[in-house]
Amino acid sequence: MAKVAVEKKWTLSSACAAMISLPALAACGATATQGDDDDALTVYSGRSEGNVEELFEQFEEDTGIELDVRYGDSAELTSQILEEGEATPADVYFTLEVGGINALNDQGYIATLPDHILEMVPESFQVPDGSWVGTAARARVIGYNPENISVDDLPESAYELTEPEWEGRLGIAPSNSSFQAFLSGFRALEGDEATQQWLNDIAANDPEIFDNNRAIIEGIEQGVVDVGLVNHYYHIRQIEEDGEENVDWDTHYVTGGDPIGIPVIAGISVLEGSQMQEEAHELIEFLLSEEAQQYFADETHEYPVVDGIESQHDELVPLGELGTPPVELAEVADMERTLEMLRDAGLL
Amino acid sequence: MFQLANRDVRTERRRLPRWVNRFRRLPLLLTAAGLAVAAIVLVPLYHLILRAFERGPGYVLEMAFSERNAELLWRTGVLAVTVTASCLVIGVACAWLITRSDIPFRRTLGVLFTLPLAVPSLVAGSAWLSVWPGIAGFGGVFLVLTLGSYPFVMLPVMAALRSGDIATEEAARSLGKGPVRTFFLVTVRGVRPAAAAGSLLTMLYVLGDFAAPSLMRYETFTIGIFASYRGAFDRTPAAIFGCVLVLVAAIIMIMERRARGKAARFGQIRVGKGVSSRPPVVPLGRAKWPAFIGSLGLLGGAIGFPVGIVIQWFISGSSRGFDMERIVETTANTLWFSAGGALLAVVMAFPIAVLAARHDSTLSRSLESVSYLGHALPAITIGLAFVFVGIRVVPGWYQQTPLLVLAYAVLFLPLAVVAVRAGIAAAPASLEEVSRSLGKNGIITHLRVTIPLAIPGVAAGVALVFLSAAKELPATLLLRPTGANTLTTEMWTLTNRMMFAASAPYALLLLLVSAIPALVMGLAVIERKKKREGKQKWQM
Repeated sequence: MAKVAVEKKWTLSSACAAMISLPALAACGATATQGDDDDALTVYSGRSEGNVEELFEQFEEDTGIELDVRYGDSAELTSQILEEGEATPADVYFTLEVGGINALNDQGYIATLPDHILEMVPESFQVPDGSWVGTAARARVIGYNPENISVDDLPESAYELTEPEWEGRLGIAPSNSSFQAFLSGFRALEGDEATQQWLNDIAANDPEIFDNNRAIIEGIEQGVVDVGLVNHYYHIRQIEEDGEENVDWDTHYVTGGDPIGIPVIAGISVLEGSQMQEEAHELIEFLLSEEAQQYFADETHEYPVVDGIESQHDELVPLGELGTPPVELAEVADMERTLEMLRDAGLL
Repeated sequence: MFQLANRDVRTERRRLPRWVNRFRRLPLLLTAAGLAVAAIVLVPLYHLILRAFERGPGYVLEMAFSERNAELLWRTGVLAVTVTASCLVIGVACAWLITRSDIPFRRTLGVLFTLPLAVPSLVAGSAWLSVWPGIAGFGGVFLVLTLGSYPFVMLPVMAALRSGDIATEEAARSLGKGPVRTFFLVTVRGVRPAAAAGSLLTMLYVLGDFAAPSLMRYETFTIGIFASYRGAFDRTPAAIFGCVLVLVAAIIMIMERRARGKAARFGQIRVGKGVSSRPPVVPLGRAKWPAFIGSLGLLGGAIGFPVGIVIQWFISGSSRGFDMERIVETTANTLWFSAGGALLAVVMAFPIAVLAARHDSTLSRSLESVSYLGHALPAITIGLAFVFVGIRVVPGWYQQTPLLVLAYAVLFLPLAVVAVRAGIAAAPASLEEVSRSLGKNGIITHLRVTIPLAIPGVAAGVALVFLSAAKELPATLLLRPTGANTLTTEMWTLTNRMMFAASAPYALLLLLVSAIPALVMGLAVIERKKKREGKQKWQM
């Protein structure tokens, strides 16, 4: 009988042994990490790997400059650089919205870009102090479910959403960077007082709070809300993934210079402490090149920032009809104030 | 003989002040190791306080007592209490069914019951929402968190039920109490320390979880903290929220301590000589099949349903595909990082667990409480603290495997402490005393007696930490080596881009990888029973 016990003990020990040896095997398979490579240009990218990886590979091939790309959430990467301080390994910060860069700039962590880069993009896609340039832009749209609501009943301005008609029917994501960027644009266009009033009215209209654009869209499709404020390209991407017949929502562009129409800019900047300024500039030039801009237009379904490029397969409402971002965007884009306003309205 | 010797030492020590005595009774090396571990665990707290007071104490008070804060606190409290209560009921019921009843397929169920721990709340939440949008809100978070965290209660209770002193139960039965009354009068009280420890883990987990409440749109404290961080530059309010969370956790720990304290005294009543006998099997009778069907229902909701939805993602989406190279790479990284975190967590837990189980004192109790800190704070808070301190103190480790592994160990240390402590407490202390009386010193005794005795507990600890680390996201994103993806980060990237079909293989692999430690935990528990069966027959 004692023998039985010994045999059974074996099963446990072998299971434990398996558990310990697995990671050892894993170690052989695990990728060698490139983080401490001094020759490589380190990019902190708030843009998804699948969206920009091909561009980065192309750049490496073209220039022979090696890239170490660290992907993450745009805002969390800003927090990370703030915590790292001057010791940050990042050379370039590539983000979905520029509020984070402005915050880093306030701390003196961002370098000024050279004129030849600033000259590549229109004024509305850069800041006067030259701390960043836009690489692509996204339109904000009203998402809706055609089965639940007719196009004619959709609001034509942000202010309409505060009317009693929309009580409990609107979905927003106040903690999401694209909503915050939209608010900063709102402030630039209409002033802080009007923005705060609008936020308070929206909050009083019992909106449904979501974590991100994707969650709002699901809410629209499932009838949890009738309309929601989201980015335009989700619609195109979802059609790609699920097929047009399986996408139960549509986009409504608000034209004519309404705050909703202000595009949200994905920006890029170079860190002040970077020892590889020249290589960093080369990367930015590449992202503004015709090749890369065409890629943003065709593959990620965004608006290019360089003139003369059109998407080959998306029919987007031209940026010109949506209203251009006000030049003051950069100055008001102190996110801190935007967030304070969100908190005052009880939305954050 | 031994008792006499002990008494001599005690009278000699009485001449010294009491606190000196208490301190002297603690083994020096273990205490030093425990203090070192505590110092590491306190790093995030130090960072949190530093950030919270950046704008002066006035701002801290203003934020801490804001209306919104009170509302978040209330909502978080309601959620934590209800989820813990339901986990307690489900966890104790499952543990009892597996250890004491004659439910069909008992051992298979025992292993399957631990698996829901491996389902990330992101996956479970998305699955429920996709078929039942109306569930969003309190109901949804409650469901997802209950189904995902009842094993926190079940595992320690299962261990306690196995090692509990059966003689007390037998005495109750012989005094004419029926099986039901015996269960409530004796068994329930006997497992109270284990149940309290499990409830504590559950409650702290609920406080710190982000994915489930955010998907279900139920605002908790952690949501508030993430929202502040995502508005990047606003780290001060986030840190103040974090401090409040630590205070809440401290209150919960004091409550748990009380629940455990009373029960521990009760549990000390031992009728037998410390060798627990094999628990008698309670026939379920007519309740057998309903109990079995109920168990299947639980497993269906906690594992079957989310897995089914993930498979459906895979079938219906156009982004599906196997990038073999990438799958192998992310799986290998997940195994490597999580196993490292798990082993380190158990090593760090060992001194604290030994002190807690064998040397009760104010210091050992405080050390144990401190070790729970990581579980109560949102992972992003711990992650950012490691960013701040890591890049300054150990720049060579920054964004390298060691720092990530250390962060995992700190985040999930309490899981290891609870498991290892339970393992040690279940082994009779007399064996260690024999070793010492044979002239072996403390370290040798621990290496050759305590650790082998605690192996089931250690295995459970490794497994629990492994499961949790494998599905961890925020700290992983901050601290992983640049370019190294795990199954969870890959899932995050793909679902963000709405490529659900492409993310499905990673979700399924994560479950598969986590099934290994679940199996080890299951085996560890079953093994103990087998051995005892053998021993009993041999004794006869």
